[in-house]
Amino acid sequence: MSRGDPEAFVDSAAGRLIRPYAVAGGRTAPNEDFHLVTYVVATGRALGDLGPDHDDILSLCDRPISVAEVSALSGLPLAVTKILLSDLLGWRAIDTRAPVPVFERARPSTDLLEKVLDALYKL
Amino acid sequence: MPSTSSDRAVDHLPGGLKLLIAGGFGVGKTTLVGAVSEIAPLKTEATITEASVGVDDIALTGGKTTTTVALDFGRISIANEYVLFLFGLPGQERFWFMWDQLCIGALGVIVLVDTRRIEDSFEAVDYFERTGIPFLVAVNEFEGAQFSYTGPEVREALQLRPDVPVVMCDARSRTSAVNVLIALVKHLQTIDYRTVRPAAPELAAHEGSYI
Ligand SMILES: Nc1nc2c(ncn2[C@@H]2O[C@H](COP(=O)(O)OP(=O)(O)OP(=O)(O)O)[C@@H](O)[C@H]2O)c(=O)[nH]1
Ligand SMILES: [Mg+2]
Repeated sequence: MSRGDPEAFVDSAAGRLIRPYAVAGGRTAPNEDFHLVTYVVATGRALGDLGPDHDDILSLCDRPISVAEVSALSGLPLAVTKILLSDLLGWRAIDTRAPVPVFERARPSTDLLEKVLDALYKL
Repeated sequence: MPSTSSDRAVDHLPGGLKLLIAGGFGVGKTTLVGAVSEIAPLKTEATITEASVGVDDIALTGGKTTTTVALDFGRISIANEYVLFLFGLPGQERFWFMWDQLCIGALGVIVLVDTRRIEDSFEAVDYFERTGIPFLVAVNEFEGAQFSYTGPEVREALQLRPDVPVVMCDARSRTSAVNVLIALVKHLQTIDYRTVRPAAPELAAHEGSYI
């Protein structure tokens, strides 16, 4: 895995963003594999030494968890979280499930809305 | 022993759904999320891109086209099959450009209104009417509010279209907050999606790039 030079991304004005930049190795590619409510889970595939950031993220994926929660619980910004998850996906250490698609100007399925309503009535 | 496909954890992953809660500063968005969520509200820091459409470009964070915002959220499990996430959108006006990206893929929006500062909600209502995403208005009734409005008065003040529901609520009460969600889902079941206006161009431009 090639890493950019973290120093290149150090910005004194950005203060606390220095670490995330270094973590992500300066990679900035858009990531369509992960959205806030994409679900991820560890596959259990054994990997070598990943380093602390990937390790932290992977251990959060022991059970099914959303990308938003991985970010919140790891304390890493969403963009950095997605990059690390993207590495893990590339190494087949996690599986993902995309969010339920919701389209503009189209009613979500009747079945879906009924299930949501049923669950809300039970709260 | 090779596992059968039904043993794979990926087959048990729930489908993520999202709802958004918008509204002015301090109107009770986080309180509402906390009232219905099965977990204490969490916070994620999202980098939102204004001009560089669809690019989660952290290298631009120091530039003018991206902003980091804290989104708080909670979740509700739907029958082991789906998980509904509720995201509170930052109330400050300077974050409104990020709504475009957050709205994509959302089932609908709750616009929370504080009747003491009803004018804070004008722009949110206008925004959601323009973008065509289904929404309802929930009036968070702070006790001792100097100006108490009825549902019809709020409708009048915000000049809502007749099909936009208005519900009264107490964002601190679980029952009340659940009723707001129920009203929104019922709205999704009955709204005539054909009458929903076409998405504003700026929203269409973000197609496929939701965060
Ligand atoms: N009395 C009363 N207080 C409320 C009610 N809802 C919220 N609050 C209080 O109002 C304050 C602001 O509520 P928040 O939920 O943080 O509001 P917010 O919309 O998330 O605020 P920002 O994210 O800063 O825009 C908190 O101190 C809440 O405890 C209510 O219905 N009645
Ligand atoms: Mg808040």
